[in-house]
Amino acid sequence: MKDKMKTVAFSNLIASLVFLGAGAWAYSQTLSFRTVKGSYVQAATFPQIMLLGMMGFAGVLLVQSAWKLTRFGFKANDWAYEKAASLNFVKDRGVLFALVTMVLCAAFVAWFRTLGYVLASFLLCFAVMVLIGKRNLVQMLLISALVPLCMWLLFYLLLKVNIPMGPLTFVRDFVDDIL
Amino acid sequence: MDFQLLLSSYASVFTNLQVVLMTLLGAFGGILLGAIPGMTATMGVALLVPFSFGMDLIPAVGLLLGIYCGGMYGGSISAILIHTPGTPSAAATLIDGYPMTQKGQGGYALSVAMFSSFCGGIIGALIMTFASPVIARAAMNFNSGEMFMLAVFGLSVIIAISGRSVVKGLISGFLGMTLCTVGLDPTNGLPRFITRSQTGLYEGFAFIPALIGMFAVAEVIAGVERIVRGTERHAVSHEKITRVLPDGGTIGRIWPNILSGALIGTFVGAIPGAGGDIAVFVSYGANKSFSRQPEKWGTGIPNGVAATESANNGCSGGAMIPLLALGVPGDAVTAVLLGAFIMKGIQPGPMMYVSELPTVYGVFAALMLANLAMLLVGCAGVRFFAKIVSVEKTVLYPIILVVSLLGAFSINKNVFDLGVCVGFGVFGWLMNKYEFPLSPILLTLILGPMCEQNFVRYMNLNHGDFTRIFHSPIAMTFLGLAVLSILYSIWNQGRINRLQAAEAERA
Amino acid sequence: MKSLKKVLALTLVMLMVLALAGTVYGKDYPKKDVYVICPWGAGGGTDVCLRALCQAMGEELGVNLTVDNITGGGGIVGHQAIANAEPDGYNIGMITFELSTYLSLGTELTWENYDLLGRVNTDAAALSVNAKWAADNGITDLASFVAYAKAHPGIQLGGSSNASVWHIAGGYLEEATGIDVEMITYQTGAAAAVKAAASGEIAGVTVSLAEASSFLQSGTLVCLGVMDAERNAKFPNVPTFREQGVDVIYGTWRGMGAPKGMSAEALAALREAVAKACQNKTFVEAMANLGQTISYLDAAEYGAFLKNNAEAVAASMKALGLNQD
Repeated sequence: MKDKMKTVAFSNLIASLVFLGAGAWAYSQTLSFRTVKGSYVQAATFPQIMLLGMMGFAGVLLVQSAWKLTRFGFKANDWAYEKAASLNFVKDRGVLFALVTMVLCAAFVAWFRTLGYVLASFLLCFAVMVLIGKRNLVQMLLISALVPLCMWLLFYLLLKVNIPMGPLTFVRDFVDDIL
Repeated sequence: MDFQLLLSSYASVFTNLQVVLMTLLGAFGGILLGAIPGMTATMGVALLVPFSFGMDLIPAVGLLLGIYCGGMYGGSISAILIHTPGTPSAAATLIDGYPMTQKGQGGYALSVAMFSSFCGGIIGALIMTFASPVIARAAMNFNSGEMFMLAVFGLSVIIAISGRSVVKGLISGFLGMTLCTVGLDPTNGLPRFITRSQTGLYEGFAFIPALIGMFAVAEVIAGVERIVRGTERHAVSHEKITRVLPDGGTIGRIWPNILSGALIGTFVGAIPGAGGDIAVFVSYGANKSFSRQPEKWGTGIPNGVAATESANNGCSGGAMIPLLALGVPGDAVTAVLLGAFIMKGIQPGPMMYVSELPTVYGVFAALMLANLAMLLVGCAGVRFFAKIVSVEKTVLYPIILVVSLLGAFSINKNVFDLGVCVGFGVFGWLMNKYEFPLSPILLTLILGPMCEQNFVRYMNLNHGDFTRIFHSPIAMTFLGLAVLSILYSIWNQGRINRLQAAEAERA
Repeated sequence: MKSLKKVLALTLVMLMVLALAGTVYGKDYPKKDVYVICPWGAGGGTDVCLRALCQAMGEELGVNLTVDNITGGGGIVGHQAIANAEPDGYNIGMITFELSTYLSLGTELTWENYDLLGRVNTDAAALSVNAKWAADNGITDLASFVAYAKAHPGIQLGGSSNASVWHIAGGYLEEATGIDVEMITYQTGAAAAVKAAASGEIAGVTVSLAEASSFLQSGTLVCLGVMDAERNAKFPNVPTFREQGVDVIYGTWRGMGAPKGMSAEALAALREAVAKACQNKTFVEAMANLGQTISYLDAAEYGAFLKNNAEAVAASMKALGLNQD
């Protein structure tokens, strides 16, 4: 690895700062937890100990990575000098598509109530297949439609678990009528 | 011990066709349920309890135990093949199981898991048959202080499952412990990190949706990334499965792991309030520590699968001890089983071994039978399940995604949990990318509540005087084990890193 | 993409026609299966009771009643789901004791958010103490326990998780007798508390007789009294609190509720079904096995009961310091 800024050591440095920051924020939150008289351990005690532990080791990681960065170039085979993963979604299509998948999942959650499981899953499944370059339309449609439908049937008929169907609720009534 | 009664109970269970059929049916259903992420054996047992109303006690118990044992093994199928523990008890199986699949040895891993599950289950059932009154008396001594120290001992395994950076593993672990505290505090019900209006978070992040998110959803996101970038390994697996049970050579290498896993599983299971999810991590940590090749653990070796799978099925035998002798369930499934017994007019508890001895022996026999049934059904299923990975990845990933999201929803039937699942998916993807290990988070999510609840209760019981714990020999034993395990694991990890560096130098 | 649209449209039309064909028959209510929300997990005490009840109600109504476990948030999520369900007569649910605590815990949910269908079951709290501890301290009945507790304030009793029914029982005990006990929470449930009492970690428990029955039979625990109007059929030797001069009746309850705004016809049919189900032979048998007492109240009486219960529970929670204001 030639570039200091792209090593695992550098990404560890950033990560330790993130954990320190998040820990400090969470710790400030614990200060406002209510206390109860006569309780020997307050609600805030346990999370505070854990946050201190996390921040402590994040500090260790910070020092460790900073030390490795200053000694950059001396020792070649240390894994701290391997290339770190990137989050650059402009240059790396993989990251970009991973982010799109996350947005799709979030949309799935947001629309779950309105669309119901089968419809929302159909859309999600189909979209992800498009994303990862499956190009057989018939297969894509069949899988996206049948897998959620079969899962729903499995839950509904065998396990008696009622999964919301949204506009497709009539399918449920239809299944009820057959039986 | 009344051997004649024992033998006649075994004979009557094994020769009763209805019992055998019901147990087989249970094992079949359990394996299927366990294999689907989010559908736990608990759900299966709960759903079949009303169905078993009309049956006699022993066939009903056979059915339920079949599901229990089958589910324990079934959970490992999805852990091994698609990186998602089907049940919490299979959580540690994926540490070595999934890398085996990535190496194209998914079927092999499945057969090792099945064989170890079977052996673990049988050993657990045997121990339970012959030692349960003794163990039950010892289990009465496990109070809050002892449980707290047991949790601490369990947490000491974090270092062994941290991967190459112990510091990063510890950060993950402490983060996981903090995540456990979100919600209402367990002692006084005060909101922590939430407001009163966020009812969905009152009990904290729902465990199974979080688990599915961190492993299944994160793995799918990472899979999309790999496929798009063109770095996906083994787009289609071509493993040829020649045999459904592991060969002699493999068994020769894994039997120490199976034996110790089964013993640890039975022991942990016998402690009231501790279940298979804890046992598997303790067993994994212990077996890795005593291994001659600790550097291979986590890279996909059958020993890792054997150690965890024998532990969780050994646990099913162990868990019967507090259930029958004390009436205290060790995990969610046994809690439902307890309900089933009560429904049948039998109240598990100290009187069980006095007034209901034939029933107790019948349960032992049914558990033995359930493990046999699991092996039979499992053998028949290995080839079929291993086919899952030979499905094209561009089809497999979307399917895993929609199936596991359904699993996350169905646990509580709560849309909020779906959000938790996706959130943990993004979180897991990020953590994986920057090599912050996820297994410590999983372990702390399991042990965190147990650790805090028992600690706070112990302090309240003793009016804030923690030093009283030094008078409990059991608690001190666990503390000692925890310290030893921490020191040894740190030393061991140093050795592993040196070994790997030396190997890299040679290459 | 054109072919895709065609296929989709065709399937939709087909499904709709089939669905329409199926829904036309006789009586007005119920026409189809009823969904029953259970705010607690599958396999628990409430779930088992509800599933048995649903079977019996189904026989009365002539349709299936499907149990839907919507859980989380200490039952609040499920209780809210019942209150917010569509009031079309096909969504009802089981409401449980915890409903009386939610107002004190800082949420808006009360029994007034539901149209009541009837109370199904109650189980009284009981005071059981470790037999060895009792013998060592000369405790034989409630009076000697109260005397001992007055001399030694801060006796540690267990009662399931925080703000649970058995935890609040401690508050009732304090209020009725004027003693001061310390309630220890066992988050994993009543069974853990009972085991702790049997092992001597705590002095006793305030759970129901059914929860403690096995240790009571083995003699590890002794029950000093049950907070009920009458003695329990399974434990005829255990006196009530009233018999010993302490006037307190307290326990958990379960009943059926529906979202507000249902048609009068549906409401009447469901109320009748609950009433009849409570006398159904199989249901009675199942409840006897479960150790749960059937104590049916009709909607009006149930409403009055809930009003009293909510006030008394709030007072008791205040005594224990469990209210959140």
